[in-house]
Amino acid sequence: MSELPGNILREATERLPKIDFDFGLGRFEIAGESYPENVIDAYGSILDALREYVETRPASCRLDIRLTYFNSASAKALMVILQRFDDIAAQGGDVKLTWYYDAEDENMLELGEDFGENLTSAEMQLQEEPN
Amino acid sequence: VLLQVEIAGLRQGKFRLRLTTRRVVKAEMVPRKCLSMLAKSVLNMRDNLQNQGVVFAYCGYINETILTGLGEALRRKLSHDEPDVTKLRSAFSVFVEQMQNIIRHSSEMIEADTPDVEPLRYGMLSIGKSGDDYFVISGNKVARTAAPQLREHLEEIHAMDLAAIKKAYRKQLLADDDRLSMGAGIGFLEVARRASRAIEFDFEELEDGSTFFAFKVTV
Repeated sequence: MSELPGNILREATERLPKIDFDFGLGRFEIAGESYPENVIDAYGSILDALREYVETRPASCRLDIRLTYFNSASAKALMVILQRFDDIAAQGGDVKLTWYYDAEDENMLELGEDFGENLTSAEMQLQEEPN
Repeated sequence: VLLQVEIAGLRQGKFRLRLTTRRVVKAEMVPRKCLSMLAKSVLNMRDNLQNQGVVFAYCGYINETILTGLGEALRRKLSHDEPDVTKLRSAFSVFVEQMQNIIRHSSEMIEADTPDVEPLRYGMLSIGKSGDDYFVISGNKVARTAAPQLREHLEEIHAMDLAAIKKAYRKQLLADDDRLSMGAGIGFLEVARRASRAIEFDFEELEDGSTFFAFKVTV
């Protein structure tokens, strides 16, 4: 079995969300806004770590997405992140994905539906957050 | 004119007084006159923009740092004015996509001396309010060879209804699987799904061999 990647903890900045990936506990969170200057710099290493994580065939994990805004380049990165969790679900892992959206923002709900529909094995819960 | 006044002053025996007065006045009048024209012309420009409902207008070289700064100011202005959160975020989103479109694709650019520093790209962008809607207008030069493909892409999106735009967006999320692109392909769909009216675009071939691309999105 492959080794777990090192945990990733990045505090939110003006254009980047908080990233809290605890591979040991199998708990993952992305929260805030995402419109990085360079999406590869922002998400490249995170995607690499997730790829390694999938290879460890985790039994269970959960990802909470609490984004209020992301640009189109981040949308692609987000989809790839979700696909890795979808891979874990396809391997038989117990994957809990939750997309929190602001009750006042219709677009975020719709985007959550779109991302969820693109998954084949995992299911994404859409959770309204009161303002 | 001044000479005539001075002669008139001489005839009236008030030469010294007049001359002194005129000289002083003349010294003040010249810069004042220039200033008043400057103010008028700048005010004209401002009024033209304001009459069109423009909240922000930028024309010049831009990079990501400028996007951060303008974005922050725009966000504060929108948060102050706009109670509809969906509309506020859509306006901000369209602003970011159009700014980044200029930053990635304007053909008018100044390369940095070192490769790790982003180039400056020239473009214009304004955001304003018309009734309950916000509009974001951008304009930048693109390579003439790139224009036909861009037009075709926008015409395709223009012909779609919202359901088709969302479907195309979902499909584009999955395109090129693992590769992260700089938003190519999905940016215009992002803008179109947030638009409250059909996207507007136009092209003009320029003498310098490039093509000017104008794009207007209303949310």
